[in-house]
Amino acid sequence: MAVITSNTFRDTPYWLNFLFEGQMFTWHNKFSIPATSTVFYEVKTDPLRLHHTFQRSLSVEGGGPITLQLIEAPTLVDGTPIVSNNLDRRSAKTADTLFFINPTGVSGGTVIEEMFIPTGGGPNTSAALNAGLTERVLKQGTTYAVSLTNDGAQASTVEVNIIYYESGN
Amino acid sequence: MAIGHPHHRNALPFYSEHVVGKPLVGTTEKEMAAGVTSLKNRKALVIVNDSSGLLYLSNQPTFNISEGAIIVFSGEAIQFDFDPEIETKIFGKTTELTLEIRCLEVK
Repeated sequence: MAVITSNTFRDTPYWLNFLFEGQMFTWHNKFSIPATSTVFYEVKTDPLRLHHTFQRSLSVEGGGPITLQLIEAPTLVDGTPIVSNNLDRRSAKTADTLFFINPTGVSGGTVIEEMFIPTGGGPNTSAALNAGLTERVLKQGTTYAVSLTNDGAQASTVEVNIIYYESGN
Repeated sequence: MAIGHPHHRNALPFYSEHVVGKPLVGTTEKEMAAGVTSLKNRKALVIVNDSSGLLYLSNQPTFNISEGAIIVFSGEAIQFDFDPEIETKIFGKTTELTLEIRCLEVK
């Protein structure tokens, strides 16, 4: 006969418990990308904590199309840090994942994902990408670079929003 | 009655009374009980986490969450069945929030 039993009485999605534990964060930045140019942002994961990318969305205004590449373990020089915000506003916990914009000297590494955001290419076009179908776990203690390339003849404004959570296991 | 069978039937567990409460649990260990202290001779303790936070439990009056504890997730209820003749305490706490937890003790 069991002496300890537990039951789930509410269909709480698994990720919501990470949010309730103050371990879910959001990061955003708006990039201006001239025609036929590339900008980068950098994600540096903690040596001990696991980073789970939960949802990504990009909104593009003008120019494009935009090609996004996720590069694992490139060589680079850190850019400007941009902090993440805790999705549980009661929590004082801060993210162990670090984000930087505009790193320099980005080279090498392995492209582990590429996405294409079609726009039409004019000055007033727009597009959006929401990639929230599957979760991605990044390697611990590893640097990632994300390149955003404006393949068009007009300048683009791109807003990147990321939702992620962290775990110890 | 077969050889070797006990002559006296063991008393079956049954419900006689219960108490309910909603203790507030924070980052300092708190005895999980409906009232200030555990119900004497209780047979079971049901802890319902209907809060927006995670509750950590141990049978130790002070414990380190990072070294191991029972996690009660949001939306989960856990029941401990006790020997009513042995006083057994359960302690709970959180990592940073104060949660309203529902407790039911059954005698």
